Amino acid sequence: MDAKPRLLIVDDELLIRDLLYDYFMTHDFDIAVAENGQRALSLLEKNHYDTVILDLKMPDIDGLELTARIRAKDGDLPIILITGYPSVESAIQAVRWRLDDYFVKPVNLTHLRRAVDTALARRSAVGGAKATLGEPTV
Amino acid sequence: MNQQALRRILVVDDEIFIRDLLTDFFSKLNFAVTTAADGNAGVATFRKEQFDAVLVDLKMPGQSGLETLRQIHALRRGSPVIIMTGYPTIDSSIEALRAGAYDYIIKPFKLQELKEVVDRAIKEQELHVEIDTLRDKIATIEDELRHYRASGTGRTRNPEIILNDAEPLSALDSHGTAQS
Repeated sequence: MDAKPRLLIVDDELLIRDLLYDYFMTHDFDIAVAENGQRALSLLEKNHYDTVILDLKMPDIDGLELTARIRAKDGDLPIILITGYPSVESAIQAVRWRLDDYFVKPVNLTHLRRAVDTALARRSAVGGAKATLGEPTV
Repeated sequence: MNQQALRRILVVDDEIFIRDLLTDFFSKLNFAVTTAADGNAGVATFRKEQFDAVLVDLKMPGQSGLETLRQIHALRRGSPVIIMTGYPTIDSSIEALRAGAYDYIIKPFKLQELKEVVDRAIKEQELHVEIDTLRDKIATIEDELRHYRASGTGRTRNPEIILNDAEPLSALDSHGTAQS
């Protein structure tokens, strides 16, 4: 895969969106941002992304509810949750939804990028197997 | 899948009360239950025997439940491991997520709910195994087809692959494509 990995950042806080956009841009990602859950869903409807970084607490759709809707369409899409309001309950939900990671704000960007890299590697392993299933290469 | 097949679970908990409780409960449901009183013993047992799911207490003297989970996954990646704890924390639940726990259950739990988690874990694991088997089979078939086309013998090594031997080989071009 030689194209830049496509990242969708979903957060209602402009400051966080800008910060993550700038950071991942300098690390050679192709980035889209959404300020709420509805916008994220509509972007996901039209475009392909390799990983989604999702805020837990948003005004329209809660990050876990959004996870459920994303997973209903793409069960393997890597999702990383970030939150300023961590709780045992949401972390347990993250385990149950097989989220790729869960970060408490303020987020260490190096750790977040490492989590994105790990998620991308997982996605490409699953995607590779799927491609083999779908199209025999003989 | 045979519904009557004996499902095997391993319970790792330092509290004898929990080990006995889970042994009684799951045995009555036709599970074969093995127990271990600490993480080291749990990993040693897992190394020797096959289990469909593992229930591990988070807080045990010596090796923690999360370390036990990591060692179990190092032995068999993807094996469903359910973490149980009476002391839930944000940090340990995030660590459980990162270590690939199947679930994180807070004590005291309802036995019926635990059974549902175990059933779901085993079902998902069976599906994963089935998918892996199918992928392996497809890879084998692809190899056989490549071999068949490269060798031009018209025979594969795999009796499961049915090729039209009646098709004269001369009717195939160098890429193995049939010529009309």
